[in-house]
Amino acid sequence: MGELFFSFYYGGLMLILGLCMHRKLKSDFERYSKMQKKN
Amino acid sequence: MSIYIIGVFATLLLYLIVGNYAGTKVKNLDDYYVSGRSAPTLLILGTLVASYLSTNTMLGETGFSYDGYPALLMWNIAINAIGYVLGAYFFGRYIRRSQALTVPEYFRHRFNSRKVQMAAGITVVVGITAYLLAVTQGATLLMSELLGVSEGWAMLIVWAVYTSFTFYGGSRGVIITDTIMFFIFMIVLFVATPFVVNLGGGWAEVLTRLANFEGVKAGIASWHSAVGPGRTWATPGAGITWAIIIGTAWMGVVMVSPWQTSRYLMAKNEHVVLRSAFLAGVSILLLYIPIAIIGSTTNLINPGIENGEKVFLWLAFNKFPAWLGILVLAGILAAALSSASTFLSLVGFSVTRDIIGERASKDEKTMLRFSRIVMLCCGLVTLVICYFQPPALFWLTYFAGTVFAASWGPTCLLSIYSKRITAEGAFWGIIVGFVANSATKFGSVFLGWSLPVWADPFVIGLVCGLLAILIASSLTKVTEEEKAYREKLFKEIPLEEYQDQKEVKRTMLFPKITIGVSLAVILLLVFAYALPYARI
Repeated sequence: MGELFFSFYYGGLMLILGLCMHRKLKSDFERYSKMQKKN
Repeated sequence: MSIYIIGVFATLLLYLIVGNYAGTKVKNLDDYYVSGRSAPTLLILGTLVASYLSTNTMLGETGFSYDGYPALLMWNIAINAIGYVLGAYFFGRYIRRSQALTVPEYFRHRFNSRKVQMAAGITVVVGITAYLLAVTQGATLLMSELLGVSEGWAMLIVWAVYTSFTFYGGSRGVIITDTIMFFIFMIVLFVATPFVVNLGGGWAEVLTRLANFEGVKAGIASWHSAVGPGRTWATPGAGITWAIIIGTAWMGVVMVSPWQTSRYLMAKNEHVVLRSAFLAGVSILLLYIPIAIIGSTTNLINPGIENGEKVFLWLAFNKFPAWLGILVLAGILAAALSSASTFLSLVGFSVTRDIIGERASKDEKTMLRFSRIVMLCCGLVTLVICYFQPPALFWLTYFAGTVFAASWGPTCLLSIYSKRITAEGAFWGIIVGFVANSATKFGSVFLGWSLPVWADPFVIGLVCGLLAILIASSLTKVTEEEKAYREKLFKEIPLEEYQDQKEVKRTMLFPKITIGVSLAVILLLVFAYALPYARI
């Protein structure tokens, strides 16, 4: 059980970060695109 | 002359030729300090990972796994690796916008204070010189063992190689050679692992034998490693708490330390900053799986290696075919030289820009010549200290490793995200964090202070540094210049870099790659490790 949790932990932190950053970058780039159009 | 010596000298010659060729392309200060701010993703990735990995990784951390703690190493690395992405997004992009030549120079612009730049510059010179001494001594011991020559001669060879291309090629030479070295030790680790597993009888056999390992290293392949009474950590909880604290400290190191964040100053654009950080995090996550496997599996091949740090050397000379042995030695040396060249360049840059600063000439050509002379002098000083100071790898690495996370961490992040931090706050945060971290480390190593696991020197330094920032900032006021500069960092988004939708789409691929690789790592560990282990 511990080994299973450890396996999910080792790749899981980076996986969660990847998912969050994907969302964050998407919204950032959309914002930049709007700013460009405004300019 | 043995085939090992010829092989290692061939790689040294390659670094010399490439590094010095890169030096011929250096035409101005930007080229020398920040590689013309034109480096692509591959070079930033190469230098990020290569300057992070040192002999401590190839020798020390493989030894740590051999000694019974592969899972603890990985508990630590999982946190450490995410620091790349967090650092690039929350700090790296902004210092690149500052267009500074060094990270302390960014502090000067941000706080409109030469005093803060000097304080940061001095911590770079002290902290990084200590780390430079450790990697030079590590490479010297390896070279001396390999060539069978005195340590003095071995030191001279190692020093001459990294100093020649660093002093002449500056950052341009360093990042190209770093990238070559990055590929060498990636290949080494991924080629050596199947060899070691085969020597242990194949993966199923290795896992079964490690799961049933008896003696002090019983539990070596479990989720908590070989902890227990009489071991370094008595319980799984103590071991994992330690690993999480060290992982957090090193996450801070890759987020803010000068030898990592200064790489972003060289990036061609913000896309490169983000892309290289995603790839660096994923690379670190992947690289430590072979390190843990090689270290622990070697117990099945030879359980009697007295010094765990010599596992790789023992395998190279005794078990690997000659070509792989050469590759391993070249990889270990590459890990040392890549860190040494980055560290020497940072010390040289900080002495010239951050400490001597405006007293130096304004003329670009004179300044370039002056920077090279200072770099050579810094190299010579390092050589002299290294020669007269006995090898002290452990305490030098221990001192320098996480000092920047404690000393610079709060100031770096608050310089972007706090409206209240002042120049005095930044100054005292850097100084108090540095002193508290170093003093606690000194006390625990030399005075026998016994600290609880949670009171790691990193934690003490971080808390003291934060308190210093809070107190000093509350006693002083943010100036208009500081306020304006901080706002500029947020407002002056390089929109032209985000105009090309193809580039934007390509950058969006990198978090997807990160998600894919992380999923693959989880599946690999579940199906090749956790489930078979449960059935044993």
